[in-house]
Amino acid sequence: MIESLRLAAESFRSNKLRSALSLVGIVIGVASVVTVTSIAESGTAYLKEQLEAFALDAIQIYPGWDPAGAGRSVELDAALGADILRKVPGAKAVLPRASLPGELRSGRNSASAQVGAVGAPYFAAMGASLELGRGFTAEDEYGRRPAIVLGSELARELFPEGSPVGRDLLLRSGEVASRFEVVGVLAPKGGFFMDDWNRMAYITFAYASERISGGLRPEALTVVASSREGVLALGAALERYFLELTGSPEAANVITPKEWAESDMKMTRTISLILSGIAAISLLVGGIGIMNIMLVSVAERKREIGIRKALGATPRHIRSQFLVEACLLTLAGGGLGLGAGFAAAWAAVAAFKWAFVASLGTAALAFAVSAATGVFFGLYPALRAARLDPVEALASE
Amino acid sequence: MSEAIRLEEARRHYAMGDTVVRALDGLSFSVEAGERIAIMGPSGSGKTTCMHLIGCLDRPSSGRVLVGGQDTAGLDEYGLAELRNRQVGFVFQQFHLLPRLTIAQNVELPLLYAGVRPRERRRRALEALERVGLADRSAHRPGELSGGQRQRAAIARALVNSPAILLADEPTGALDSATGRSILELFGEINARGTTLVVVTHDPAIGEGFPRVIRLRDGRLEGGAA
Ligand SMILES: Nc1ncnc2c1ncn2[C@@H]1O[C@H](COP(=O)(O)OP(=O)(O)OP(=O)(O)O)[C@@H](O)[C@H]1O
Ligand SMILES: [Mg+2]
Repeated sequence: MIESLRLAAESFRSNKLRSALSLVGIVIGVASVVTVTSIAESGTAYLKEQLEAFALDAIQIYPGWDPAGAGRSVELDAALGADILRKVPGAKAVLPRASLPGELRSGRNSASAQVGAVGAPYFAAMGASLELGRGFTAEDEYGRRPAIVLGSELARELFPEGSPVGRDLLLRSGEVASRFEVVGVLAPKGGFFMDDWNRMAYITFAYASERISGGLRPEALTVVASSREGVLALGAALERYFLELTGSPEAANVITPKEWAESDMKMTRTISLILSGIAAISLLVGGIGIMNIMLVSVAERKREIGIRKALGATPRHIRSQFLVEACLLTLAGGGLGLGAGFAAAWAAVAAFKWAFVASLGTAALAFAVSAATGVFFGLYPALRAARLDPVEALASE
Repeated sequence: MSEAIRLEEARRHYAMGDTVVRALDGLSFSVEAGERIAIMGPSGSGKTTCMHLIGCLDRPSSGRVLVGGQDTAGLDEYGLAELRNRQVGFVFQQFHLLPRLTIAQNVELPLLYAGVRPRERRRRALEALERVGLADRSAHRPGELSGGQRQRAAIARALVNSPAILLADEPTGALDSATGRSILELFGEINARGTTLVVVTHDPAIGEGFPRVIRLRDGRLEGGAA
């Protein structure tokens, strides 16, 4: 076995360029396999994290679009919220949500951030917990108090030393600048789609619409289910409600937690499908390349095979020599493909803003795929070598 | 003494289109263990074909070939490979060393195929190289050796498995006469230790040095006597 490995290494050294060329297909094939599995694994990890980050009893409603007739998209205002609470069974609360660009300043420190304008129970509804201080209360909301909650990163930037809770900061949004009291800091938390919890600031929707941006319209409504088990039924009920209200299934986007996360996964499924296709084709092309180089190798080394047979090599010895050679070639390609695949997956995953997962399983898969390609496409040349007639092989040049 | 080699009416025919080439056409002779014989005859008379049959590289079209008492007709490829490996050592005119392996690695090959462990292989290969006076060249590649040295390495390889029979097909054909003589002396020493020796040669001077010469013509014994 070690003998065969050494022999194989020898024979590559003398055919560097040819060996390298025949590897390209294997490299691309294995790289595709690795990319697919890595993206899938990273995506699964992301999905899990999202489902955990996402409040499982909250449903988001976004304005839809209706290609059939303009103006039929629903207006996500307070009246609609009240109507939903009245008519849709299983809805406990309807919270408005909007966002404004903001400049925050505390002493010499300043930062720009998205400022979320939310209903008072928003953090509880979204399953976000407070690291310091408290969230919004009904008094904050009805009293139009200038209370602000900071994401953990933002808090550190504005208040590098000591707890920000109870301190003041200046928020400028558009023309309006107002002084706020920091009431809480959110615990660090994985990103929630477009919101980055750690870099956002939150004020009450009531304050924002009255004191900062007159007539601020909610960009989305968060509907909280009375019970976690009822969340899917609530989603269906909301769909029916909007269909009745507007006559169009497109007028509003009702998104339950699972759907939200999965809509992101659809894209990766398409990518995976394309890459699997590439993987299959490259492995086939690469495998045929390997078969070709091995057939050439067998033809060129007929005399060597004859000599080995004359010295007592059995057909099995010869066959395994050439199989090991083919596998070493494909494994070398697989190693390169593994590196390239991890790199490609890392880049793709970074583009999706997911955490990259490089698993041992993927590496094992890459090596299994390359070894299998080597055995599959190396078998025919190896059998040809093993079956050579020793006398004829010895006589060849 | 026991019989090392026995051919009974051995024929080897090649079909070439509609003609049949009779490389061997009913050849019978036997060789006792420990004997030293030369096979001579004009080009095309069947000497190499005969060696291939004795060396279990080929089987007769008809007739019988027995090597160490074993009939090769009944053996499959694996049986033939084992018989080659254990009973026979080959020395070729063109040396047939593998150029990418070192001399020691070349010599180890028969042991590799016999399933001997690496450490033991190495030890026995160096021992065989010692016998042919090449111990100091074990790490060299064949390309770095002279013709005579290469043939010595090939002889070491043929001997390393302690075969009963040593077959040499024109072993001095590619060497100058002085080097050829030293190779033949080496063969003499090996035979003196009990190995049966069969050498094919064109050279009548070499043939004279053998106690027994088998002469072939057209695939048969010349004159019909053994
Ligand atoms: N594979 C083959 N196919 C057809 N004919 C063959 C084959 N091998 C050998 N022969 C023929 O068999 C005959 C004997 O060949 P062989 O090689 O045994 O002769 P030889 O005595 O060794 O000759 P030389 O002294 O030239 O080496 C020749 O006529 C040769 O052409
Ligand atoms: Mg010949």
